[in-house]
Amino acid sequence: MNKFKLIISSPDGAIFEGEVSKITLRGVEGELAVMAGHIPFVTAIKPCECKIELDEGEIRTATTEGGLLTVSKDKTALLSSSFKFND
Amino acid sequence: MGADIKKLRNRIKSVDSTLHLTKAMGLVASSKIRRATDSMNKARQYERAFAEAIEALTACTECQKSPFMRASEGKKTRLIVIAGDRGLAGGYNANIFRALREYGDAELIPIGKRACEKCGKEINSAERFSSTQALELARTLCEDFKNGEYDRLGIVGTKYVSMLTQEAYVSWILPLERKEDAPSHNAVFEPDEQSILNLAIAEYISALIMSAVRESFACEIASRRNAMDSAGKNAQQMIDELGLEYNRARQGAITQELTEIVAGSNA
Repeated sequence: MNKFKLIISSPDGAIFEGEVSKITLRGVEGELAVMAGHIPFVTAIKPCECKIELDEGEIRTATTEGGLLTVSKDKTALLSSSFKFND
Repeated sequence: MGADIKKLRNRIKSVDSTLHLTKAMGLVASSKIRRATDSMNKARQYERAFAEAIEALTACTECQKSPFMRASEGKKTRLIVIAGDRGLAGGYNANIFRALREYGDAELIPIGKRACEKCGKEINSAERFSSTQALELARTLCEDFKNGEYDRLGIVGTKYVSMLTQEAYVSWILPLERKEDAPSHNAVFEPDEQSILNLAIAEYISALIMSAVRESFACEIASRRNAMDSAGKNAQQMIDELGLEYNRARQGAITQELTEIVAGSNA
């Protein structure tokens, strides 16, 4: 599967930075997933469980209480002060 | 003469213990400064990234209707005041309170022990201020602003210019200002700019608070290090001067004794 660069940052620094194949979270208008080649896109994130698919079907789950998701051509950035990985 | 020597010896001892104290505090500050500036840079980076997105949002006309951009006639001001946890940091705390003097009628939200003591509110620490606390604070602030409970929100903090210079400042957060020359985003906004802005604003304000708190804390540490440095230098100089005086007094006593002995044996 194609991959894209994902950066998740918080006020205490970057929480995650790397190539992933898919990220699923809940936006204002419902569940959404971002995959490689998504159009440039901005939305606010609601409190939700977030799934990040790394390579070979490896999935990491996390929770967030909200934030801002910006998808641009070269990278996807999630800004959230309350993002925490479950593992 | 003997009493004089004793007095001098005691003074030297006391200045020496002050020197030890300033040295220890300077060392503690030096060891903390690295971590403080690191977390300052991280929080700043986060705030910049957020500010960029918010600027793009506020630039669009749709967002002018947002309750967070409405400039009101009222003069009710709220100020987030960030001061240090401890004293002995040169003019750090004093500069903050001096900057505050202009806004006597503002409602204050203190962060840092010294600011809390001054306002007589619940004590919280600037060093251990967490992003959860910041988000909680930002949410209440946004809610109150929307309900028109106050008209202007500002932050009083200290700007980290360099290791040697720090400046107290007042900056305004709400209502949001429109940046005309913001880079245009040709991205899709879902559902629309205004809703995103209204939802993301609390996160943005918490980012601003965090970055200001971390920056101010780095300033406190840097300022304490400088203060302890110069205090240590002064103490050393004092010890040198007192030592000279002490030796002179001691030598004087010996000389006098000798003259007395010689005079006695001649007689």
